[in-house]
Amino acid sequence: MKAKVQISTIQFSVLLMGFLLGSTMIIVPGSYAKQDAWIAYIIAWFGGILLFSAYVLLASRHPRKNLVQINRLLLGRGLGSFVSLLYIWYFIHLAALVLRNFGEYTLTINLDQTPLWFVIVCYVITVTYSVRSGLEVTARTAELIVPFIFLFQIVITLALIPHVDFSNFKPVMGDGITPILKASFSVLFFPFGETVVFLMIIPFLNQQKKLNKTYSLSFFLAGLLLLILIVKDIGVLGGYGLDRKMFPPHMSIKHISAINLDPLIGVIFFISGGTKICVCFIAASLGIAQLTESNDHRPFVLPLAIILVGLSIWVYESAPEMMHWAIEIWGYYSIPFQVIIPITLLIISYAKPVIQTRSTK
Amino acid sequence: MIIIIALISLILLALIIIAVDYRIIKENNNKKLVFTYALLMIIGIVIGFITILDLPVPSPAIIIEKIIAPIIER
Repeated sequence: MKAKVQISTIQFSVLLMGFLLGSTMIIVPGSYAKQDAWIAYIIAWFGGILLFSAYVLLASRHPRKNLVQINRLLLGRGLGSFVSLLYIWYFIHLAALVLRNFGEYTLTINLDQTPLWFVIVCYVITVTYSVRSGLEVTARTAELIVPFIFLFQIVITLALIPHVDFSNFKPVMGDGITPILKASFSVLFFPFGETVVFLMIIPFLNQQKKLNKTYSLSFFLAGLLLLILIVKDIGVLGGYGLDRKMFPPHMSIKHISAINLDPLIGVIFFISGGTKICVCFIAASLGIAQLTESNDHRPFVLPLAIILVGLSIWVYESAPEMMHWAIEIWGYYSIPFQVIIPITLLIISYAKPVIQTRSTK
Repeated sequence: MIIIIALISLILLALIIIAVDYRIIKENNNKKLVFTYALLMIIGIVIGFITILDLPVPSPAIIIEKIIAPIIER
C-alpha cells in the first residue's frame, strides 16, 4: 500500500461489523437447526470469540506486520510465500462467493430478467473503484454507510414484532443437540472465522494498543445484531420456513405489508455485501503487493477484478449449488485457513524464541 | 466465430486495463510486479474465456468439494 495509510479504530470497527454482517444478511448459515438456530448462533459466537482471540494474539505478537509478513517470518521465505498464496486464493474465493450470493439474490428477488453477469459487473465496478482508491477511502465509505445497516435492521425488527409467533421457537432442542452443533459449526466458519482476513488490515490501524478493545466491541455488536436477526427470522418464518426458504431474511421482512420495502432492502443488503467484498478484495491485492515486494497495491486491482467477475460466475452452476456450498462445504474448506494455519503460526511464534535461546546456549 | 469474438474482446479489455495501469507499473519499476500483473491478466482472460463460452471445465468449487467429500462422509 502506498505511503502511510492508517485507519482509525472506529473505521476498523465499522469495517469489521460490515464484514461480519455481510452475506449473513441474506443467507442464514445455521438454518438446518431450524427453530434452534438461535442456540447454534450463540455457540458459534463463543467459538468465534476464541478464534478471534487467537488472531488478535497473533497480530499483537507481530505489531505492524500483516499475514503475509507473519507467514514469511515464522515459516521461512519459501513455505511462508506458499501459505500466503493459499490465503490470497482464499480471499479471492471468499469475495467471489459473496459476489455470487448477492448476484443470485438480485436475480431471485428484484431483477429476474437481468443476466447474472450484468449484475456482477455493476457490483464489481463499484467495489473496484473503492479498492483502487485505497483502504482509507473504503474505511471512510464503510463509516458512512454501515451504521445505516444497523439502524435499518433495528427498525425492521421492531416493525416485525407484531408478526413474531413465539410458539415458532418450540420445541427447544426437539431434534436433539446434533443439528445444533452441526449448525453452529457452519456459523462459526461463516461469518465469524472469516475475520482472519483482518490480519491483513490490522497493521493499518493507527492505535494498535486499542486493537483488542476495538475487535471485541465490534465482534460483540455484530454478533448481537446477527442473533437478533436470527431470532426475528425464526419468530416470523418458523423453523421449517427458515430451513426451506432461499433468502429467509428477505422473506421475513416481506411480512411488513403496509409498504413495499423491496428496493430499500436490496440497497441495504448490497451495502453490507459491498463492505465484505471490499475487505476481501483489498486483502488479496495487499497480499499480492507484499509478495511481489511492491509498495503499491493498485496495479493488481483491475486484473483481480476481471478474475473476480469470471470466478463468481464460473464457480457455481446454480443458486441451490451455491447455497449447498456456502452452508455445508465452506466450513470444512475453511478449517485450514481459519483454524489450523493461524493456530500453528501462534504456536511457532511462542516456540521460536524458546528454541532459538536454547540453541544459542 | 463466437470464440474469436470472445477472445478479441477479452484481449481488448486487457489492453485497456494495461493502458490504465501503465503509469503506476512504470513508476514502480519492479520485475516481480510486471510478471505477477501479466500472470493475473492471463488468468483473468482464461477464466473469462471459460465463462463466456461456458466451457465444460470443472470449477474450483467442484474440485474442492471432491477433495472434501470423503471427510464429510466420515
